[in-house]
Amino acid sequence: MSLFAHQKTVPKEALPALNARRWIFFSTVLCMLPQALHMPVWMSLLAGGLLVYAGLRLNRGIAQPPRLLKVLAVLVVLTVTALSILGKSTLLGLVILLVMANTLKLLELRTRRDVWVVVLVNCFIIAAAYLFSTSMLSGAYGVLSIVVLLASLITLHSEASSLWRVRWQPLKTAGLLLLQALPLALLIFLIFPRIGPLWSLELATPSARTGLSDSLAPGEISNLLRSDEMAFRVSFSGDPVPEQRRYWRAMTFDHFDGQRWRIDAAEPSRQLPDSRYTGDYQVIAEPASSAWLIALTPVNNGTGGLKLFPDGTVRAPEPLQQRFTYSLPLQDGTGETLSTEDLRRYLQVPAGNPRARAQVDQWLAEGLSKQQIVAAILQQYRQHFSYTLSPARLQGHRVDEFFFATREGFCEHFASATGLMLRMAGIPTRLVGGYLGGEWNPYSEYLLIRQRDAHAWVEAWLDGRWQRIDPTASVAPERVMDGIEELLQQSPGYLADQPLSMVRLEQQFALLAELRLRYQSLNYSWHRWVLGYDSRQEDLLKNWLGTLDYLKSVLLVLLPVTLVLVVIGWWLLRARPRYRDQISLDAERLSDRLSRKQPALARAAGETLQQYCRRAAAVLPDQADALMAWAEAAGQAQYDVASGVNMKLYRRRLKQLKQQL
Amino acid sequence: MLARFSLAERLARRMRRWAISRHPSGHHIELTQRVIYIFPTRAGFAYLGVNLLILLLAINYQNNLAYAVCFMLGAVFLVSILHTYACLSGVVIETGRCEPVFAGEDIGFTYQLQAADRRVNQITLAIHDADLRSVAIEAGGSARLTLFRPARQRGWDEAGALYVESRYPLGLFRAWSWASLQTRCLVYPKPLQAKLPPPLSPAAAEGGRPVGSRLSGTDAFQGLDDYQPGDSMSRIAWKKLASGQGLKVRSYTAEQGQEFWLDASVWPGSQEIKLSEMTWQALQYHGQDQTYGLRLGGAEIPPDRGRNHLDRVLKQLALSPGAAGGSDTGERL
Repeated sequence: MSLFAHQKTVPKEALPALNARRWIFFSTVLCMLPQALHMPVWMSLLAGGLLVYAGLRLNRGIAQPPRLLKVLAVLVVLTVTALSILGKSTLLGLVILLVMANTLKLLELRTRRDVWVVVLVNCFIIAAAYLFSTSMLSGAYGVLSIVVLLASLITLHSEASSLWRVRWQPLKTAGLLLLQALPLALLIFLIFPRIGPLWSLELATPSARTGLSDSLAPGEISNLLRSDEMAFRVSFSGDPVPEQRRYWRAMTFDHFDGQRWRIDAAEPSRQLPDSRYTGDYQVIAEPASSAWLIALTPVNNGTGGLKLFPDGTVRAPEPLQQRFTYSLPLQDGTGETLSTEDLRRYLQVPAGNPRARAQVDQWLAEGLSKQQIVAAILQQYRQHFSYTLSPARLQGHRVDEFFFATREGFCEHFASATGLMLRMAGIPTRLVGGYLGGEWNPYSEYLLIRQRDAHAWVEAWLDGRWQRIDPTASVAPERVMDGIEELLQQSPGYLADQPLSMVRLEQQFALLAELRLRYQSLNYSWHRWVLGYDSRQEDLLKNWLGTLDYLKSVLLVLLPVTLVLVVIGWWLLRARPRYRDQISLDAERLSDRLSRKQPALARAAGETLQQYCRRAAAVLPDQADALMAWAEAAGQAQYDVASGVNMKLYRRRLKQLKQQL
Repeated sequence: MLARFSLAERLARRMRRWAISRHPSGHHIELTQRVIYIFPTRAGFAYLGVNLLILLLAINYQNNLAYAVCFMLGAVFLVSILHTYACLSGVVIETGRCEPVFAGEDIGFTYQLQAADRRVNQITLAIHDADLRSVAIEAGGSARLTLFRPARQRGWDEAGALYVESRYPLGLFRAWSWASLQTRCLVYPKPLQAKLPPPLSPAAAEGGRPVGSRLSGTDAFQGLDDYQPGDSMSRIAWKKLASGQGLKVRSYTAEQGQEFWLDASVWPGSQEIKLSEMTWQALQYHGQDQTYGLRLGGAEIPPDRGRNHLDRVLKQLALSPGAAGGSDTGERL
């Protein structure tokens, strides 16, 4: 018998009790279920089939599959898994492997040790699931998984007696345990230092993510317009900017080849030093296909790590694989100047579009100033053009066709035609791709910009500075004022593929719109405080505690942890009155004590306390009074268990007796 | 002998000795902080390892929810220390009566557990070489556990230190204690049928029948008496019982004045064999409801019959000093 020898006391060979097996099975299925979304369908089906078999085995006590079959199953599953992992990211591959291994382990679950292997793999899977989804729902699901997992461990380590007939008892205990652990966990979450990745890992295959692309051709944004996906969220330090000014610049296009606008020269002018910065507005960017970030004004300052470009646009340090938070200032301009090189770039015009050129030449011959030419173009739009999301296809000389023939389209068409014609008139011009507007959430005071808010407009060099010209506003001013949503509702093609869209429902039920805003507000807090806590941690801790030194941070961890543990310990171990038991226990102790002096003085079976004391008093005349007084007090205390009034007297008598003995 | 144990094992044994010596032995013990030890189990260490992996995952992918899982599981680990400890704390263990057994049979050491004012969800008791038993006890309730272990040799057999542990709720921690409770059990010699008939006792040779002459079939059946506690099971009239006439025992007439003596001084064979054969013979006499006495060493138990007499005789046989080392002090720890 040694210290560790008694690890053996719980036999490893024994199959855990039926209820424990059921809980283990249930919790494992629960933990692995979300992974089915990421795994190839046929892998999920295979795992599902094996799980059904495992479930039957654990529930009904069906015998294990024969050894040969098991080996075969392992080989098949491993091969299949290896094949399906190929081409996936490391993490997804790892998760698939874990899920399949866990399924197999469940199939041959035999000992307590096997159960532990399954439980620990489940723990890891719960955490890994968050790399694929971080929504509030996933968060809640994870908590549920942990509770059930703990419940399965509790059933495994409780005596499977009648006490555990109560079906929900393990869940309740697990919930209690988690609740008690919560303050500690929260504390560690708040103060645990967030450090950068230890080694770099690709999260997932670069999937086709929505977002602005690095080139712009008429018709492209219309895909985005159908996307409800969140793109950016912006909160302002001061008042939010008015609706007319919510032009979010992402990138500018300077090269036009007759069909597409491209970014020709995209060399960052500088990279901001790695420092924290609190600007006038903070942006949380969702993962997207490009690294371009939105900004209200041309940027020359902001959160560290951003790459600044000469045209005032910003890029994230790397493609937005994950949510990215940054801050920028509101400013009037960066004092950008035009070099000869820039002039050449911004005046580049491809061959073609003869009618547009003829029109511009005619305006120039009429002696129109630059401002007047801009006005003339916009005038044309106002008079003869209409805004639609399902325009006719353009072929050949696209600008000509749009400007003189079809005369319908949306932002890209208008911006593209305007840009080209201004260049023809000798005005340096660039196209801007970005977003317009956003939905203001009054509960959390932030602006939500979706992919469908994508927009394109023109910046022209007039009077020695870049000026924003939004030709779409001339055609459909409501696009600017009311946002794309209002406008789209009148458009026949809009959301044709989403018949049950929220937008449509909300037109009928105002309450839904209200609920949606509330939900988004909650979601925003979730992103801001839970998912994006890293960026806030330093400020928060500084606000609360001032500057942190080493000693302070150690105390910061130790003190609250100790405090929480002390409180829980007190709660668990606190003494509740148990008078009757206490008295008989005291009597036994007395009997032990006296019988050590005289064996005859042991309390006999069936002897009442009073009888015993009388007998002892006869043998020990010196202590007789104390003995009888104690016996009497005990009798009184026993008749009055509820109020406990006589307990005080009893304790005093007991103390006196102990002193005398 | 010591070389067979690794250093860790020796340390562990020393620790156990120290732990047992820390509190006085007696017939009951209350598990308090003084005697409860707690340490993570191997599963607990594995759990920490997995938690570390999750932390790496969270750091590398900068994922706050993975951080949250890690910290949550870590906090659960800490909190479960208290729960496991609370499971043992305040439990009072008392020793119960132990029925004497014959050598080679299983002794059942009985312990009475009294829970404190909270429910004990799992408590496991073990003694050396015995099977272990787990039980759950309601708050303030009690439970009785019997641990069975083969009896080693005749005489007093000590249960040795009682090992108590709990791993509730999660099995991450093991709270344990060693209670050096005074538990001993009387082990009678293993009954052994003699190859030869019992020898004649010189003292009894003058009158009556030769000692130990076989009685098989020579007694006359006399009638049925009411059952008295202590009557031999072999005399119960099962058929009468089955027919609903109550518990009756068959009585036989033994010739008056016939006394049998189990006399060690005339019994052939070595000491232990002799004791075993005398035990067997005593059981025979008891089964036949004979009157018999015992002369062993200096002690003499006058002839009598019945259960209590049998127990006295067997006890005398069990505690007889001999090569087997069955000590009659029985008070050693």
